[in-house]
Amino acid sequence: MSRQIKKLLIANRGEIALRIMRTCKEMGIKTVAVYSEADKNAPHVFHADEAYLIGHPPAKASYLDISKIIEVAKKSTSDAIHPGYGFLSENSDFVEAVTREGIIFVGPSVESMNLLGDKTAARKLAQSAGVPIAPGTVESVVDVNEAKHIASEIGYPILLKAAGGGGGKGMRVVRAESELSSQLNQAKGEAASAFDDPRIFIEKYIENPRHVEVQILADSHGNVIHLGERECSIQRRHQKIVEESPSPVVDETLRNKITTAAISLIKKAEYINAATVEFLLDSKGKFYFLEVNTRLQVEHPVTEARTGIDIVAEQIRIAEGKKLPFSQQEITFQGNSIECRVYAEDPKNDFFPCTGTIQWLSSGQGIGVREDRGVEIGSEITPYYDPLISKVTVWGNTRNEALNRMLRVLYEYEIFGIETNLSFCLWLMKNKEFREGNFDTHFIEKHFKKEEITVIPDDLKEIAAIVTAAYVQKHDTNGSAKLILKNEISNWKLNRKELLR
Amino acid sequence: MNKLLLHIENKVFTIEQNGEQAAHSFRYGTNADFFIDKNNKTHRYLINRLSDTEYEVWIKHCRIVVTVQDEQSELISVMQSHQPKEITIKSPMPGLIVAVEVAPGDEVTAGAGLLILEAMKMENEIKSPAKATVKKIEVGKGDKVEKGEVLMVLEAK
Repeated sequence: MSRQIKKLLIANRGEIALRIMRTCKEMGIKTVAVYSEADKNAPHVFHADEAYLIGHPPAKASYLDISKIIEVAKKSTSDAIHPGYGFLSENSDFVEAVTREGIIFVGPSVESMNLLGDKTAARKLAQSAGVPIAPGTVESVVDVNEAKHIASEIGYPILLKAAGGGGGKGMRVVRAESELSSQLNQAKGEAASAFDDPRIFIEKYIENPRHVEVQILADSHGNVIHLGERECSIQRRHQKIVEESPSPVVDETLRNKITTAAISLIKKAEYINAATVEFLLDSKGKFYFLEVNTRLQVEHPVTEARTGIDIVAEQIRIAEGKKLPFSQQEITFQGNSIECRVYAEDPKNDFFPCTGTIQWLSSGQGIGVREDRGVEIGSEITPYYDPLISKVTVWGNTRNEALNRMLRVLYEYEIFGIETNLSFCLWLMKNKEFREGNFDTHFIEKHFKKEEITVIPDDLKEIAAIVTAAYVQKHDTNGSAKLILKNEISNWKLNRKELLR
Repeated sequence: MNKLLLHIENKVFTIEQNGEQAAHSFRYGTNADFFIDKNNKTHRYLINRLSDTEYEVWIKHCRIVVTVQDEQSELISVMQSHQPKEITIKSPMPGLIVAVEVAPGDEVTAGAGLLILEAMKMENEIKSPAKATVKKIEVGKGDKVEKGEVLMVLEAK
């Protein structure tokens, strides 16, 4: 069954909404945007062919409102909906509501989403597909006695995980039996409030793992292919900041094993559309199934940079019922690519998210650079949504070339008016351990010292002093301009004095 | 303005008007301005006035806070510097107080957790900027707070 998509609604905001619209434009598909009151001036609104206000700023009142979004889809005669990532992208009630209206959902079926969204069901499936899973349970644990029994069998440390969802909620590391009872209760409580599902299962805790994931495309004709792996170990609060492909530690043998495992799991699930199979890789090169993300990933541009394949275009073609236009053998992987997520958050203050207005923004450009950004000068970063400003992706013939390119691009990048993690990303690109590929998911806790980025160079302090003096001279104390000078040569004498404290 | 003292972290810059001419110049733009230094390197910057005496300068990947004083106010501040200093802890963003970790009278070290604010779907710990005594707590668990709302008053040691 093949059906041409002519008009597509994007149930998302920010950079990912723009990214999907760009592909639609290239494919001759009309685009429909939805937006909350906080986003009425956002780039994704005026980039779309049509845009509809769907509610108040909190996500629950807008981007998570299933009935409002369906109403807009019907009103605008959209024949398909792309959910992007986050928001409703992994909500099977949404998929059900969309398909019930005869609208194409660009993503998997309700059944696939439910099967892989349940973490214990996914573990069971992986086991039956012959994919290695971390030792532990494939069912949720009944009580603390059973948990104690299982933990003593597999050995501490163990990890308690929620069956109902991910993102670090309901997750606890338990290092000794004495902690087990209280940690289990806490994990259950957290899982119940986050996912409305208190089920907890047990896994052996993998020490110092790397996070490696495989991008999969599967069409409705039984073709399943992989687009290589992505290394996503640089994380804070279980969220990725920097991703790259290929992984600096995955060799050809391991790559064959891990991509074969990912493909057999997706085939076993009879899954259709794009998916990412996530694995943990231990220091001995053994890998364990983590979970499947049944949607487009934030970090998909690193894969696109190496393969030249537009993953969103393939998602749309698959949703139309078409065959993948290439076989596994026809896919070529070139060079190295790295993505940095530029967030409005302060790395000097535990990566605390920041709100405010972007007063000035000038992005890094040039050879081998791609930027996906949903904000511009004048945009406000509000507390309602993810504080992502931009995704900067670079490509290079070698990892070293890509690292140097990223360093150059980040150095060019200027954002004034709001704190960002640019200084952290610059620090990382210069860090010896990172450059040598020696890192795991605990890299930031182990190696990052904020003192290494808080130092303001003396020459910048001096400039700050002079420009402030000039500003004070030009303006009254209430901030209004006394005189406006277009060009001026200053005639101040500058003395520096070190204050001893 | 004859003489200005500009404080940046532990440095003080003194600037005298009509002193000897320095070899740098300015060019003003619509969004951000330019400063041309004595080596002919042009820097883009943006300046915001935060209060009567405080300014922030954004340049390259730095936000630099500059405190401006003239000679008279410097004298006053030297005399006041021996009195205890109050630190007001304000909410950096709108959110929900999920826990208050200290009580009035508690002594805290720099970096010690004061309270936990839930915002942007995340729990964020607000920490003490200095060694201090907790003087007053203005909020409780479950309170919704706005950006800039006073949460706590500390007395620096």
